[in-house]
Amino acid sequence: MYLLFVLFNPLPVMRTISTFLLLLATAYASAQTEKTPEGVDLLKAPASPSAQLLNIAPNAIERPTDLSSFWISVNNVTSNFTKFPTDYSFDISPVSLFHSTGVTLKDLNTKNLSSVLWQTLIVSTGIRSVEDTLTGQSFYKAAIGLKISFIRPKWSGATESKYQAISVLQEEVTEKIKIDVNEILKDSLYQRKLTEREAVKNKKSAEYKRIDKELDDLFLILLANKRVERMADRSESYTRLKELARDFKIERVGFYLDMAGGFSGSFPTNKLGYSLADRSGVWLTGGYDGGNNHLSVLGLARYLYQPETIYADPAHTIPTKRISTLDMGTRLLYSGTDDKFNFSLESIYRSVLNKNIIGPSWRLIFSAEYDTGFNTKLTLNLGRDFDGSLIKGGNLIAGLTFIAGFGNKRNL
Amino acid sequence: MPQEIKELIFSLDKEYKLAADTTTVSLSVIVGVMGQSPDLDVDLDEKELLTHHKGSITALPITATVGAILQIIGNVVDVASDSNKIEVTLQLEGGVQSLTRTFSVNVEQDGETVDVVFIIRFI
Repeated sequence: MYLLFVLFNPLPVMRTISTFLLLLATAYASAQTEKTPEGVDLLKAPASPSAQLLNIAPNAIERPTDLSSFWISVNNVTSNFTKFPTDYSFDISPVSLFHSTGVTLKDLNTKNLSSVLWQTLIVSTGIRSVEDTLTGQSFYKAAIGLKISFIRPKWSGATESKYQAISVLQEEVTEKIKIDVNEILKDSLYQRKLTEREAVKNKKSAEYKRIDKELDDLFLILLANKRVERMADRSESYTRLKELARDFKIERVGFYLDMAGGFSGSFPTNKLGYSLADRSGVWLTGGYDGGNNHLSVLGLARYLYQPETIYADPAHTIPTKRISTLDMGTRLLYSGTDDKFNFSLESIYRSVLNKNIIGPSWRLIFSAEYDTGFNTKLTLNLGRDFDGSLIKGGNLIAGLTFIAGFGNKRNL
Repeated sequence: MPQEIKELIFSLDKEYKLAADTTTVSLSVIVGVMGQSPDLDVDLDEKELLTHHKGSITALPITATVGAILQIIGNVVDVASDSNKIEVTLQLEGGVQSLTRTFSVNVEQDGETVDVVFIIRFI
Protein backbone atom coordinates (compact mmCIF):
# COMPACT_ATOMS: atom_id res chain seq x y z
CA MET A 1 0.00 0.00 0.00
CA TYR A 2 2.80 2.37 1.01
CA LEU A 3 4.72 1.43 -2.12
CA LEU A 4 1.70 2.21 -4.26
CA PHE A 5 1.32 5.55 -2.51
CA VAL A 6 4.96 6.40 -3.16
CA LEU A 7 4.73 5.32 -6.78
CA PHE A 8 1.53 7.17 -7.52
CA ASN A 9 1.83 10.13 -5.20
CA PRO A 10 1.28 13.05 -7.61
CA LEU A 11 3.13 15.64 -5.49
CA PRO A 12 6.73 14.71 -6.47
CA VAL A 13 5.65 14.51 -10.13
CA MET A 14 4.09 17.95 -9.90
CA ARG A 15 7.25 19.28 -8.28
CA THR A 16 9.40 17.74 -11.01
CA ILE A 17 7.23 19.26 -13.74
CA SER A 18 7.18 22.69 -12.11
CA THR A 19 10.98 22.54 -11.63
CA PHE A 20 11.41 21.56 -15.27
CA LEU A 21 9.16 24.41 -16.40
CA LEU A 22 11.03 26.79 -14.13
CA LEU A 23 14.34 25.71 -15.64
CA LEU A 24 12.86 26.08 -19.12
CA ALA A 25 11.65 29.59 -18.33
CA THR A 26 15.02 30.52 -16.85
CA ALA A 27 16.83 29.13 -19.87
CA TYR A 28 14.49 31.07 -22.14
CA ALA A 29 15.10 34.26 -20.19
CA SER A 30 18.87 33.64 -20.34
CA ALA A 31 18.64 33.06 -24.07
CA GLN A 32 16.89 36.38 -24.41
CA THR A 33 19.58 38.24 -22.52
CA GLU A 34 22.36 36.32 -24.31
CA LYS A 35 21.34 37.98 -27.50
CA THR A 36 23.99 40.52 -26.58
CA PRO A 37 26.95 38.30 -25.62
CA GLU A 38 29.58 40.71 -26.87
CA GLY A 39 28.54 43.56 -24.65
CA VAL A 40 30.49 46.33 -23.01
CA ASP A 41 32.36 43.76 -20.89
CA LEU A 42 34.28 42.70 -23.99
CA LEU A 43 35.98 46.10 -24.00
CA LYS A 44 37.18 45.84 -20.40
CA ALA A 45 40.91 46.12 -19.77
CA PRO A 46 42.63 42.73 -19.48
CA ALA A 47 43.99 41.54 -16.14
CA SER A 48 47.48 41.60 -17.63
CA PRO A 49 48.09 43.71 -20.78
CA SER A 50 51.30 41.94 -21.79
CA ALA A 51 49.81 38.45 -21.36
CA GLN A 52 46.83 39.55 -23.44
CA LEU A 53 49.11 40.80 -26.24
CA LEU A 54 51.12 37.56 -26.19
CA ASN A 55 48.09 35.28 -25.81
CA ILE A 56 49.36 33.82 -22.56
CA ALA A 57 46.66 32.26 -20.39
CA PRO A 58 45.73 34.44 -17.37
CA ASN A 59 46.39 31.58 -14.92
CA ALA A 60 49.99 31.29 -16.20
CA ILE A 61 50.86 34.84 -15.10
CA GLU A 62 53.21 35.09 -12.12
CA ARG A 63 52.34 37.78 -9.55
CA PRO A 64 55.22 37.97 -7.03
CA THR A 65 54.51 40.20 -4.03
CA ASP A 66 58.05 40.53 -2.71
CA LEU A 67 61.59 40.36 -4.03
CA SER A 68 62.30 36.86 -2.74
CA SER A 69 59.22 35.34 -4.42
CA PHE A 70 60.12 37.25 -7.60
CA TRP A 71 63.62 35.79 -7.45
CA ILE A 72 62.24 32.27 -6.94
CA SER A 73 59.88 32.73 -9.89
CA VAL A 74 62.68 33.85 -12.24
CA ASN A 75 64.94 31.09 -10.95
CA ASN A 76 62.31 28.41 -11.60
CA VAL A 77 61.39 29.52 -15.07
CA THR A 78 65.04 29.75 -16.19
CA SER A 79 66.04 26.48 -14.45
CA ASN A 80 68.66 28.26 -12.33
CA PHE A 81 69.57 30.61 -15.17
CA THR A 82 70.58 27.78 -17.49
CA LYS A 83 67.95 28.38 -20.20
CA PHE A 84 65.84 31.13 -21.66
CA PRO A 85 62.14 30.81 -20.76
CA THR A 86 59.72 29.93 -23.57
CA ASP A 87 56.48 31.22 -22.07
CA TYR A 88 56.78 33.58 -19.13
CA SER A 89 54.71 36.52 -17.99
CA PHE A 90 54.62 38.38 -14.71
CA ASP A 91 52.80 41.33 -13.22
CA ILE A 92 54.47 43.26 -10.46
CA SER A 93 53.28 46.07 -8.23
CA PRO A 94 56.40 48.16 -7.54
CA VAL A 95 54.95 49.60 -4.33
CA SER A 96 54.38 46.09 -3.02
CA LEU A 97 57.64 44.65 -4.31
CA PHE A 98 59.79 47.47 -2.94
CA HIS A 99 57.76 48.32 0.16
CA SER A 100 60.24 50.87 1.43
CA THR A 101 57.75 53.74 1.36
CA GLY A 102 55.62 52.28 4.16
CA VAL A 103 52.16 52.48 2.62
CA THR A 104 49.75 51.77 5.45
CA LEU A 105 46.02 51.04 5.48
CA LYS A 106 45.08 54.71 5.88
CA ASP A 107 47.18 55.60 2.81
CA LEU A 108 45.00 53.34 0.67
CA ASN A 109 42.22 55.92 0.99
CA THR A 110 44.31 58.91 -0.06
CA LYS A 111 43.22 61.27 -2.85
CA ASN A 112 46.75 62.48 -3.50
CA LEU A 113 47.36 61.88 -7.22
CA SER A 114 51.02 60.88 -7.01
CA SER A 115 50.25 58.42 -4.18
CA VAL A 116 47.31 56.92 -6.09
CA LEU A 117 49.46 56.55 -9.23
CA TRP A 118 52.27 54.88 -7.29
CA GLN A 119 50.00 52.58 -5.30
CA THR A 120 47.97 51.40 -8.30
CA LEU A 121 50.82 51.00 -10.78
CA ILE A 122 51.21 47.46 -12.09
CA VAL A 123 53.96 46.65 -14.54
CA SER A 124 53.21 43.71 -16.77
CA THR A 125 55.75 41.98 -18.96
CA GLY A 126 56.14 38.69 -20.76
CA ILE A 127 58.02 36.64 -23.28
CA ARG A 128 56.78 33.88 -25.57
CA SER A 129 58.34 31.55 -28.09
CA VAL A 130 56.20 31.16 -31.23
CA GLU A 131 56.63 29.17 -34.42
CA ASP A 132 56.66 30.74 -37.86
CA THR A 133 53.99 28.87 -39.83
CA LEU A 134 55.91 29.32 -43.11
CA THR A 135 59.47 28.44 -42.12
CA GLY A 136 58.73 26.28 -39.09
CA GLN A 137 61.37 28.18 -37.13
CA SER A 138 60.62 29.41 -33.65
CA PHE A 139 61.25 32.96 -32.57
CA TYR A 140 60.52 35.14 -29.57
CA LYS A 141 57.88 37.74 -28.91
CA ALA A 142 58.11 40.07 -25.92
CA ALA A 143 55.62 42.49 -24.44
CA ILE A 144 55.53 45.17 -21.80
CA GLY A 145 52.54 46.96 -20.38
CA LEU A 146 51.20 48.79 -17.38
CA LYS A 147 47.99 49.40 -15.48
CA ILE A 148 47.34 52.51 -13.45
CA SER A 149 44.49 54.45 -11.83
CA PHE A 150 44.25 58.20 -12.29
CA ILE A 151 41.16 58.56 -10.14
CA ARG A 152 40.47 56.03 -7.40
CA PRO A 153 37.10 55.92 -5.63
CA LYS A 154 36.99 56.68 -1.94
CA TRP A 155 36.11 54.09 0.70
CA SER A 156 32.43 53.35 1.18
CA GLY A 157 30.70 54.43 4.39
CA ALA A 158 30.72 50.84 5.64
CA THR A 159 34.49 50.54 5.07
CA GLU A 160 35.09 53.90 6.82
CA SER A 161 33.03 52.73 9.82
CA LYS A 162 34.96 49.47 10.12
CA TYR A 163 38.26 51.33 9.87
CA GLN A 164 37.17 53.75 12.61
CA ALA A 165 36.21 50.82 14.84
CA ILE A 166 39.65 49.25 14.32
CA SER A 167 41.35 52.60 15.00
CA VAL A 168 39.52 53.11 18.31
CA LEU A 169 40.51 49.64 19.54
CA GLN A 170 44.12 50.16 18.40
CA GLU A 171 44.26 53.43 20.33
CA GLU A 172 43.06 51.64 23.45
CA VAL A 173 45.83 49.05 22.99
CA THR A 174 48.47 51.79 22.57
CA GLU A 175 47.33 53.51 25.78
CA LYS A 176 47.58 50.23 27.69
CA ILE A 177 51.04 49.49 26.31
CA LYS A 178 52.19 52.96 27.42
CA ILE A 179 51.03 52.27 30.97
CA ASP A 180 52.87 48.93 30.93
CA VAL A 181 56.07 50.52 29.55
CA ASN A 182 56.05 53.17 32.29
CA GLU A 183 55.84 50.41 34.90
CA ILE A 184 58.68 48.44 33.27
CA LEU A 185 60.93 51.51 33.11
CA LYS A 186 60.50 51.88 36.89
CA ASP A 187 61.18 48.20 37.54
CA SER A 188 64.16 47.84 39.92
CA LEU A 189 65.81 45.03 37.96
CA TYR A 190 65.47 47.02 34.76
CA GLN A 191 66.80 50.18 36.44
CA ARG A 192 69.82 48.25 37.70
CA LYS A 193 70.61 46.95 34.20
CA LEU A 194 70.25 50.47 32.79
CA THR A 195 72.67 51.88 35.34
CA GLU A 196 75.07 49.07 34.51
CA ARG A 197 74.97 50.00 30.80
CA GLU A 198 75.34 53.72 31.47
CA ALA A 199 78.40 53.03 33.58
CA VAL A 200 80.33 51.56 30.64
CA LYS A 201 82.25 54.44 29.12
CA ASN A 202 83.49 52.67 25.99
CA LYS A 203 80.29 52.34 23.94
CA LYS A 204 82.03 50.10 21.40
CA SER A 205 83.42 47.62 23.91
CA ALA A 206 82.32 43.98 24.10
CA GLU A 207 81.13 44.60 27.65
CA TYR A 208 78.82 47.39 26.51
CA LYS A 209 77.41 45.21 23.72
CA ARG A 210 76.82 42.36 26.16
CA ILE A 211 74.96 44.51 28.67
CA ASP A 212 73.07 46.26 25.86
CA LYS A 213 71.84 42.90 24.58
CA GLU A 214 70.94 41.72 28.07
CA LEU A 215 68.91 44.90 28.53
CA ASP A 216 67.03 44.34 25.25
CA ASP A 217 66.34 40.72 26.22
CA LEU A 218 65.09 41.75 29.66
CA PHE A 219 62.92 44.46 28.11
CA LEU A 220 61.37 41.92 25.74
CA ILE A 221 60.65 39.43 28.54
CA LEU A 222 59.02 42.10 30.71
CA LEU A 223 56.96 43.38 27.76
CA ALA A 224 55.87 39.82 26.91
CA ASN A 225 54.71 39.24 30.49
CA LYS A 226 52.76 42.49 30.43
CA ARG A 227 51.19 41.55 27.08
CA VAL A 228 50.00 38.21 28.48
CA GLU A 229 48.42 39.99 31.47
CA ARG A 230 46.88 42.66 29.24
CA MET A 231 45.37 40.14 26.86
CA ALA A 232 43.86 38.20 29.75
CA ASP A 233 42.36 41.38 31.22
CA ARG A 234 41.06 42.71 27.93
CA SER A 235 40.39 39.54 25.96
CA GLU A 236 37.09 40.88 24.58
CA SER A 237 38.72 43.96 23.06
CA TYR A 238 41.53 41.90 21.52
CA THR A 239 39.07 39.36 20.12
CA ARG A 240 36.93 42.14 18.66
CA LEU A 241 39.99 43.84 17.14
CA LYS A 242 41.15 40.57 15.61
CA GLU A 243 37.71 39.88 14.14
CA LEU A 244 37.39 43.37 12.67
CA ALA A 245 40.90 43.25 11.17
CA ARG A 246 40.44 39.75 9.78
CA ASP A 247 37.15 40.61 8.07
CA PHE A 248 38.25 44.01 6.80
CA LYS A 249 37.60 44.43 3.09
CA ILE A 250 37.92 47.65 1.17
CA GLU A 251 34.81 48.68 -0.73
CA ARG A 252 34.95 51.83 -2.81
CA VAL A 253 32.30 54.18 -4.16
CA GLY A 254 32.61 57.18 -6.44
CA PHE A 255 34.33 58.20 -9.63
CA TYR A 256 37.19 56.22 -11.10
CA LEU A 257 39.45 56.37 -14.12
CA ASP A 258 41.86 53.54 -14.95
CA MET A 259 44.19 53.01 -17.83
CA ALA A 260 45.94 49.93 -19.14
CA GLY A 261 48.22 49.68 -22.10
CA GLY A 262 51.06 47.78 -23.64
CA PHE A 263 52.85 46.77 -26.76
CA SER A 264 54.57 43.67 -28.03
CA GLY A 265 57.41 43.17 -30.46
CA SER A 266 58.68 40.12 -32.29
CA PHE A 267 62.30 39.12 -32.82
CA PRO A 268 62.27 37.10 -36.08
CA THR A 269 66.01 36.33 -35.92
CA ASN A 270 66.05 35.92 -32.13
CA LYS A 271 68.49 38.82 -31.95
CA LEU A 272 67.88 41.98 -29.95
CA GLY A 273 69.17 44.15 -32.79
CA TYR A 274 66.30 43.29 -35.12
CA SER A 275 62.71 43.58 -33.95
CA LEU A 276 59.31 44.25 -35.49
CA ALA A 277 56.30 45.93 -33.93
CA ASP A 278 53.73 43.25 -33.26
CA ARG A 279 50.60 44.32 -31.39
CA SER A 280 49.64 47.11 -29.04
CA GLY A 281 46.61 48.24 -27.10
CA VAL A 282 45.33 50.94 -24.78
CA TRP A 283 42.28 50.49 -22.56
CA LEU A 284 40.63 53.37 -20.74
CA THR A 285 37.98 52.63 -18.12
CA GLY A 286 36.09 55.30 -16.23
CA GLY A 287 32.83 55.83 -14.50
CA TYR A 288 30.99 56.10 -11.24
CA ASP A 289 30.34 53.26 -8.86
CA GLY A 290 27.44 54.06 -6.59
CA GLY A 291 27.51 50.81 -4.62
CA ASN A 292 24.29 48.96 -3.80
CA ASN A 293 20.93 50.55 -4.52
CA HIS A 294 22.47 53.33 -6.55
CA LEU A 295 23.29 54.38 -10.03
CA SER A 296 26.48 53.11 -11.65
CA VAL A 297 27.98 54.47 -14.85
CA LEU A 298 30.73 52.78 -16.86
CA GLY A 299 32.59 54.13 -19.86
CA LEU A 300 35.18 52.15 -21.83
CA ALA A 301 37.45 52.91 -24.74
CA ARG A 302 39.83 50.47 -26.38
CA TYR A 303 42.45 51.07 -29.03
CA LEU A 304 44.13 48.04 -30.58
CA TYR A 305 46.83 47.77 -33.20
CA GLN A 306 46.86 44.48 -35.10
CA PRO A 307 44.22 42.87 -32.86
CA GLU A 308 43.69 39.14 -32.88
CA THR A 309 40.15 39.71 -34.19
CA ILE A 310 38.53 42.92 -35.36
CA TYR A 311 35.41 43.62 -33.32
CA ALA A 312 33.85 45.65 -36.13
CA ASP A 313 34.48 42.80 -38.57
CA PRO A 314 32.86 39.66 -37.12
CA ALA A 315 32.87 37.99 -40.56
CA HIS A 316 36.69 38.37 -40.75
CA THR A 317 36.57 39.96 -44.19
CA ILE A 318 39.85 41.86 -43.78
CA PRO A 319 43.20 40.67 -42.41
CA THR A 320 44.29 42.19 -39.11
CA LYS A 321 47.80 43.12 -40.28
CA ARG A 322 48.52 46.83 -39.78
CA ILE A 323 44.96 47.46 -38.69
CA SER A 324 44.06 49.83 -35.89
CA THR A 325 40.68 49.64 -34.21
CA LEU A 326 38.85 51.88 -31.81
CA ASP A 327 35.94 50.53 -29.80
CA MET A 328 33.98 52.36 -27.15
CA GLY A 329 31.16 51.50 -24.82
CA THR A 330 29.03 52.93 -22.05
CA ARG A 331 26.78 51.30 -19.55
CA LEU A 332 24.37 52.86 -17.11
CA LEU A 333 22.99 50.60 -14.39
CA TYR A 334 20.39 51.29 -11.74
CA SER A 335 19.05 48.92 -9.15
CA GLY A 336 16.19 49.90 -6.87
CA THR A 337 16.23 49.72 -3.11
CA ASP A 338 14.92 46.16 -2.76
CA ASP A 339 16.26 44.98 -6.16
CA LYS A 340 12.70 44.86 -7.50
CA PHE A 341 13.37 47.32 -10.29
CA ASN A 342 16.56 47.36 -12.36
CA PHE A 343 17.37 49.03 -15.59
CA SER A 344 20.42 49.35 -17.79
CA LEU A 345 21.32 51.32 -20.86
CA GLU A 346 24.22 50.02 -22.89
CA SER A 347 25.83 51.45 -25.99
CA ILE A 348 28.77 50.23 -28.06
CA TYR A 349 30.64 51.90 -30.88
CA ARG A 350 33.14 49.93 -32.95
CA SER A 351 35.36 51.03 -35.80
CA VAL A 352 38.39 50.27 -37.93
CA LEU A 353 40.54 53.37 -38.10
CA ASN A 354 42.73 52.86 -41.15
CA LYS A 355 40.54 50.88 -43.60
CA ASN A 356 37.50 52.25 -45.36
CA ILE A 357 36.12 48.80 -46.23
CA ILE A 358 34.37 48.47 -42.91
CA GLY A 359 32.50 51.47 -41.60
CA PRO A 360 31.88 52.21 -37.95
CA SER A 361 28.80 50.69 -36.36
CA TRP A 362 26.98 51.10 -33.10
CA ARG A 363 24.47 49.40 -30.88
CA LEU A 364 22.16 50.72 -28.19
CA ILE A 365 20.18 48.54 -25.81
CA PHE A 366 17.82 49.49 -23.04
CA SER A 367 16.84 46.78 -20.56
CA ALA A 368 14.39 47.07 -17.69
CA GLU A 369 13.25 44.47 -15.24
CA TYR A 370 10.58 44.54 -12.57
CA ASP A 371 10.03 41.78 -10.07
CA THR A 372 6.25 41.62 -9.73
CA GLY A 373 6.55 39.02 -6.97
CA PHE A 374 5.93 35.29 -6.58
CA ASN A 375 8.08 34.00 -9.46
CA THR A 376 6.96 36.58 -11.96
CA LYS A 377 9.19 39.11 -13.59
CA LEU A 378 8.43 41.68 -16.22
CA THR A 379 11.35 42.47 -18.52
CA LEU A 380 11.78 44.83 -21.42
CA ASN A 381 14.61 44.92 -23.98
CA LEU A 382 14.65 47.64 -26.58
CA GLY A 383 17.48 48.58 -28.87
CA ARG A 384 19.24 48.99 -32.10
CA ASP A 385 21.71 46.33 -33.22
CA PHE A 386 24.92 46.76 -35.24
CA ASP A 387 23.83 44.95 -38.39
CA GLY A 388 20.13 45.71 -38.03
CA SER A 389 20.72 49.44 -38.04
CA LEU A 390 23.15 49.27 -40.91
CA ILE A 391 20.73 47.35 -43.08
CA LYS A 392 17.32 48.50 -41.96
CA GLY A 393 18.10 51.74 -40.23
CA GLY A 394 17.15 50.63 -36.75
CA ASN A 395 14.91 47.90 -35.39
CA LEU A 396 13.69 46.41 -32.18
CA ILE A 397 15.88 43.59 -30.89
CA ALA A 398 13.27 42.26 -28.50
CA GLY A 399 9.98 43.20 -27.01
CA LEU A 400 8.28 42.76 -23.68
CA THR A 401 8.80 39.43 -21.89
CA PHE A 402 6.86 38.03 -19.00
CA ILE A 403 8.55 35.26 -17.05
CA ALA A 404 6.60 33.10 -14.65
CA GLY A 405 7.84 30.19 -12.55
CA PHE A 406 5.91 27.44 -10.82
CA GLY A 407 6.18 25.79 -7.45
CA ASN A 408 7.75 27.43 -4.42
CA LYS A 409 8.91 31.03 -4.58
CA ARG A 410 12.27 31.29 -6.31
CA ASN A 411 14.41 34.17 -7.39
CA LEU A 412 14.24 34.05 -11.17
CA MET B 1 51.25 25.38 18.81
CA PRO B 2 50.45 29.09 19.24
CA GLN B 3 52.88 31.72 18.08
CA GLU B 4 55.41 32.79 20.69
CA ILE B 5 54.48 36.09 22.35
CA LYS B 6 58.01 37.49 21.95
CA GLU B 7 57.65 37.27 18.16
CA LEU B 8 54.72 39.67 18.41
CA ILE B 9 56.71 42.40 20.17
CA PHE B 10 59.13 44.74 18.40
CA SER B 11 61.18 46.43 21.08
CA LEU B 12 64.50 48.05 21.82
CA ASP B 13 66.06 50.37 24.39
CA LYS B 14 69.10 52.12 22.96
CA GLU B 15 71.45 54.96 23.76
CA TYR B 16 71.92 57.40 20.88
CA LYS B 17 74.89 59.77 20.86
CA LEU B 18 74.10 63.24 19.63
CA ALA B 19 76.53 65.07 17.38
CA ALA B 20 78.35 67.97 19.03
CA ASP B 21 77.25 70.57 16.49
CA THR B 22 73.56 69.76 16.21
CA THR B 23 70.71 68.71 18.45
CA THR B 24 68.18 67.95 15.71
CA VAL B 25 67.82 64.34 14.71
CA SER B 26 65.51 62.81 12.18
CA LEU B 27 63.17 59.91 13.04
CA SER B 28 61.56 57.53 10.58
CA VAL B 29 59.36 54.56 11.40
CA ILE B 30 58.44 52.71 8.23
CA VAL B 31 55.57 50.25 8.55
CA GLY B 32 55.12 47.43 6.06
CA VAL B 33 53.90 45.48 4.28
CA MET B 34 51.47 47.55 2.24
CA GLY B 35 48.08 47.92 3.84
CA GLN B 36 48.86 47.08 7.47
CA SER B 37 47.40 49.34 10.15
CA PRO B 38 49.67 51.08 12.68
CA ASP B 39 48.81 53.28 15.66
CA LEU B 40 51.88 55.06 16.98
CA ASP B 41 52.56 57.63 19.71
CA VAL B 42 55.85 59.52 19.73
CA ASP B 43 56.81 61.32 22.95
CA LEU B 44 59.97 63.23 23.85
CA ASP B 45 60.08 63.19 27.66
CA GLU B 46 56.69 64.64 28.62
CA LYS B 47 56.08 66.28 25.25
CA GLU B 48 53.73 64.51 22.80
CA LEU B 49 55.13 64.81 19.28
CA LEU B 50 52.65 62.49 17.55
CA THR B 51 49.49 60.99 18.99
CA HIS B 52 47.80 57.92 17.49
CA HIS B 53 49.56 58.36 14.19
CA LYS B 54 48.08 55.95 11.62
CA GLY B 55 50.80 55.97 8.98
CA SER B 56 54.53 55.51 8.60
CA ILE B 57 56.69 58.30 10.03
CA THR B 58 59.08 59.84 7.55
CA ALA B 59 61.97 62.07 8.65
CA LEU B 60 60.27 63.62 11.70
CA PRO B 61 62.63 66.32 13.06
CA ILE B 62 63.31 65.97 16.78
CA THR B 63 65.06 68.60 18.83
CA ALA B 64 66.95 66.43 21.25
CA THR B 65 69.06 67.26 24.28
CA VAL B 66 71.44 65.05 26.22
CA GLY B 67 69.46 63.06 28.79
CA ALA B 68 66.15 63.31 26.92
CA ILE B 69 64.22 60.10 26.27
CA LEU B 70 62.33 59.46 23.05
CA GLN B 71 59.52 56.89 23.20
CA ILE B 72 57.83 55.40 20.15
CA ILE B 73 54.99 53.24 21.43
CA GLY B 74 52.06 51.68 19.65
CA ASN B 75 50.92 48.67 17.70
CA VAL B 76 50.44 47.37 14.17
CA VAL B 77 47.45 45.22 13.25
CA ASP B 78 47.49 42.73 10.39
CA VAL B 79 44.74 43.96 8.10
CA ALA B 80 46.28 43.33 4.68
CA SER B 81 44.35 40.55 3.01
CA ASP B 82 47.18 39.35 0.78
CA SER B 83 49.95 39.14 3.38
CA ASN B 84 50.41 38.20 7.03
CA LYS B 85 53.76 39.93 7.24
CA ILE B 86 54.29 42.90 9.53
CA GLU B 87 57.54 44.79 9.24
CA VAL B 88 58.69 47.90 11.08
CA THR B 89 61.93 49.73 10.34
CA LEU B 90 63.27 52.30 12.80
CA GLN B 91 65.71 54.88 11.46
CA LEU B 92 67.40 57.61 13.43
CA GLU B 93 69.75 60.02 11.69
CA GLY B 94 71.59 63.20 12.59
CA GLY B 95 73.62 61.91 15.53
CA VAL B 96 77.18 60.64 15.56
CA GLN B 97 76.00 57.50 13.79
CA SER B 98 72.78 56.45 12.13
CA LEU B 99 70.67 53.83 13.85
CA THR B 100 68.62 51.46 11.67
CA ARG B 101 66.79 48.39 12.94
CA THR B 102 64.23 46.30 11.07
CA PHE B 103 61.77 44.02 12.85
CA SER B 104 59.66 41.53 10.93
CA VAL B 105 57.17 38.76 11.68
CA ASN B 106 54.71 36.60 9.79
CA VAL B 107 51.72 36.46 12.09
CA GLU B 108 50.08 33.06 12.25
CA GLN B 109 46.57 34.38 12.80
CA ASP B 110 44.84 36.91 10.56
CA GLY B 111 44.12 40.15 12.41
CA GLU B 112 46.93 39.66 14.95
CA THR B 113 48.40 42.67 16.78
CA VAL B 114 52.12 43.39 17.10
CA ASP B 115 53.31 45.69 19.92
CA VAL B 116 55.89 48.36 19.10
CA VAL B 117 58.06 49.81 21.88
CA PHE B 118 61.21 51.75 21.01
CA ILE B 119 63.05 53.72 23.69
CA ILE B 120 65.86 56.04 22.61
CA ARG B 121 68.05 57.66 25.27
CA PHE B 122 70.02 60.63 23.96
CA ILE B 123 73.56 60.87 25.31
